[in-house]
Amino acid sequence: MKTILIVEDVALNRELLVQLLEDDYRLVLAADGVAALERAAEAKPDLILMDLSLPRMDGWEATRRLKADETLSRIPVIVLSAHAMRGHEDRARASGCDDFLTKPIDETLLFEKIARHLGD
Amino acid sequence: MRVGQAKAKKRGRSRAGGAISLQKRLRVSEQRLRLLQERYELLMGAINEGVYDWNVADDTIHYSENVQKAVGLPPALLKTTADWRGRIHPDDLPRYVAGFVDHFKGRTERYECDYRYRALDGSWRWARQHGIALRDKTGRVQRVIGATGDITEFKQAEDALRKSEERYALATSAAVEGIYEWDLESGMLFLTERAKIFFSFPADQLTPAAWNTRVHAEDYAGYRAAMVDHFKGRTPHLEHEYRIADGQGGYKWVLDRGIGMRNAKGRVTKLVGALSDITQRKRAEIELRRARDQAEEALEQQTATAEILGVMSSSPTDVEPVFEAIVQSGIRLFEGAGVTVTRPENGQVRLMAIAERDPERARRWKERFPFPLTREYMHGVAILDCRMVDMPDVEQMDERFAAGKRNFAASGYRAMTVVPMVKDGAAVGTIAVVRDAAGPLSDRQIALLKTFADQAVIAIENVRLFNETRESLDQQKASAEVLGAISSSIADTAPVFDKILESCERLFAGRIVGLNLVQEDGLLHIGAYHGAHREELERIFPLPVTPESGSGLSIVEGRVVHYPDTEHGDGVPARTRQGCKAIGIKSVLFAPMLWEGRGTGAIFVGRDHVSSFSEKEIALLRIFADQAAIAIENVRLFNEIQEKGRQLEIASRHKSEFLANMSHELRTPLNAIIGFTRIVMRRSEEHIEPKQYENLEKILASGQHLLALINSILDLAKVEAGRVEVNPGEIGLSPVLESCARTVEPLVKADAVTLVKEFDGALPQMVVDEEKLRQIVINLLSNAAKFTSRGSIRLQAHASNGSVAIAVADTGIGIPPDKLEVIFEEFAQADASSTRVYGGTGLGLTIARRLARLMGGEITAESVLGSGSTFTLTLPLRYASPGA
Repeated sequence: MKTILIVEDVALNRELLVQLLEDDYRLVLAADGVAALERAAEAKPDLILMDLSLPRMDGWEATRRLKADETLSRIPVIVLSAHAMRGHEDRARASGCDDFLTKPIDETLLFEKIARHLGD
Repeated sequence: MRVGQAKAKKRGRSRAGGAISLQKRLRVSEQRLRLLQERYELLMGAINEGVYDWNVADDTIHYSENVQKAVGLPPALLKTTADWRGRIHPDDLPRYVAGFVDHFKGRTERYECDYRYRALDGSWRWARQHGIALRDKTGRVQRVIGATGDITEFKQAEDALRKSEERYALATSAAVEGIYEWDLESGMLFLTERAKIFFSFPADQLTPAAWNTRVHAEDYAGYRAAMVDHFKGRTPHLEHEYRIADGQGGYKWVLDRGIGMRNAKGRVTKLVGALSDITQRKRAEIELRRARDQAEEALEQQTATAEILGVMSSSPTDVEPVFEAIVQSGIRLFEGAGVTVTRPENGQVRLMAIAERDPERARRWKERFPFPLTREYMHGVAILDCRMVDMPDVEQMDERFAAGKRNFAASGYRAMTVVPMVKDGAAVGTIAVVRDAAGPLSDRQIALLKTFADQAVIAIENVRLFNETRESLDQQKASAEVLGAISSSIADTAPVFDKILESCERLFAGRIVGLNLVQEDGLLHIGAYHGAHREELERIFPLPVTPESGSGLSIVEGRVVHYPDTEHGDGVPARTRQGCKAIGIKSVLFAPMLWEGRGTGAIFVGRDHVSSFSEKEIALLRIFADQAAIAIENVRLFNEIQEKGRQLEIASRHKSEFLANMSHELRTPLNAIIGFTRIVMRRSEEHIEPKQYENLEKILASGQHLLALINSILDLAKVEAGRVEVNPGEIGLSPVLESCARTVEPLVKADAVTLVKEFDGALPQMVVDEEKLRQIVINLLSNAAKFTSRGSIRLQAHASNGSVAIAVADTGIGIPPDKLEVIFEEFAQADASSTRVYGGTGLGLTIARRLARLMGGEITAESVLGSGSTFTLTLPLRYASPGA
């Protein structure tokens, strides 16, 4: 079973993702950017779902650092954001993320994207 | 010959008529009658006809019928001798009368006289009258019978002959009158007889000394010199012209041509010469010289006037040089004279220019000016009565010119002529010539003086016109400059006020100019001020807007307020009097600055002397006041707009931030609602009642609708904030439209509605923002699907003239005509309740239209209520960014 790191500060949204994915994947959770980097280093997940608005360190910065870390840079990062503005997606892509999804999450689309990035 | 023939012809004719009329009238003796007839025949032979019978006792005259023809006068005009006399030339009348007296006294056998008489046309004609007196027994003359006729033609012929004789006499008179021979050794002078007669030389005076004494004193030296030159051999012969006494009290001009006979030593022993009378020629020469002098004088005068014209044209801005040229020319042309130009000014006669050879006299003459403009002076009369005043001799000067006479006495002149310079019937000045010698000016000199006066008037007029033109040009320029300042400084009144005050200073020769403004406190404050003693003025301000000040009064009454004398003038408000005194101003002009009837301030110009501002200046200040008012209003409007713009910008930014935040904040819980609902529905479908499952479906649908609303609002906000960029790319229109149709297909009620694609031919490639094109077309198609329950939805497209029209025509419920535009507004479906029935956010069309416009296109709607609607999107085939 593959491991997915979910980075989401809002508990309710974190819980929703857990419920959607827990049957098929091993899940590691983080509620802010700093924790995300720690969990990623510890757990070496196969994929990361990254929220953008995060306390301590935002999603853009966390993504940039992940991609800058040789040991972690190959882990696909899918950004999930409630920010529908064009600028957000551009900034996210500029930080090095592999894919982008707007909230509310279209679960079908989410499953598709996860499967594609995991090579399933 | 002609005259003779005419006489012969007339004689026969008139003799018959004349004789009959005589016989009828005369009751005289046979002898007398015979004598009479004889005399009569004599008469008729001499002249033209016209017989008269003058009854001396009662002084009546009877005429023959043809007298009128003879002298051209009707007998009715010639009833008495007085009638006749009245027609006779005054020079001839004494002869006419004397002839009768002689005849009556028996000194002449008959009366005969040629005289001039006035013909009917007023001209003088010659008549010849003959007459014979008839006497009673005592010898007293009872009547005179005779004839009279016109002899003008004869007189003319006679005159012509006499003249030709005179000419002949002249021609011969220039010939040599005599030969002389002067023997120097014997001292004898020999003259031919003719010369002696000609010169009335008595024989006993034939000595060279006697000759010499006859030579005109003025010519003697020249004569001697010529003689000496010839004797000394310096001239081959003597040839000299001189005057010599003619022995009858006069002089004759002679041409003396002689040659000396010399002895062996070369000494002249004898002088032989010829004398010619050249008096006529000399006279002609003198006459010629006089004529030439006159011509030269005229030329000189013309030159003078031309010079003045030259000065005039080269100094259009200044009359002074013209006046100077006039007096300088005048002094050259009028001998022994001083010339002045004067002008009336404030009730005085002021000296403008003077020319006088003697500086001391010039100084004394200048001291007489200015003097009062009254009729006590010749200048005064010339100016006030607009006529020339000529005073040939001050000794004869009228007592009414008492004051003028004193001036004369002081300056030592004898005569003066003053000519007015007349413009439009009024004198604007004078030109005067003063002279040492008494005596009048010649007509020509007066004419010249008048020419000078005319030129002076033209010069004055020129300068006035020039200044007026320059002035109005200056004013226009100033006004344009202010307008320029207004348009280039809409945010700030200061540059406009500066420009206005600067212009006022220049155009009004104002010592101070200022601008008072009504400020927010409702009081007048100094807005701008150019001039001294500002601190004095500041002490008075602020002022209430009341008639107690010039500014206040002009604003309250909305008119220009003018005080030519602030110190002593009537009705000057206390504040103004006080203010003007403080800053040293004697006359002031205020103009109100009005905007829509509201006074916003006043502009004022002040001078340090008492003076009235002209109508033109008042009008000009009014213009400046208006411009200042416009400037103030401009700045007020500009600031208002600026402020509103700023507020709008802030509001818009707040709105955008709010929308972005709201969108984020709403999506997060919505994310949970939709997500968890889906999980519950998926995992509990088989465990819960179908009714509850439907409720979950409704929660999901509502959540999704809410999400669509949030997305649309966000889209609209982005478009409104101008944050939507057009990303043009080249696309094939057909595939895009096909794809849109496929996307919407699931929404179409498949059983009752057909979706038809009708593309005209092969649609071209297009440069457009594909994403936005899709958004619009999908919106139109989904609207159609939403409102069409049966029939068809047709997606049509055709390209022409560089644009493409994409239409979506449905057979749905349609839109009432009055709602066709409203539906493009936010949250405005045709029927407010339709959202609930048909769904949708109410923002789709609004966004679609905004996007279409953003790409240089448009969406229009047509509809028939109940039978369907057609929405047409037009777009340029190739998008061009607005900046390109």
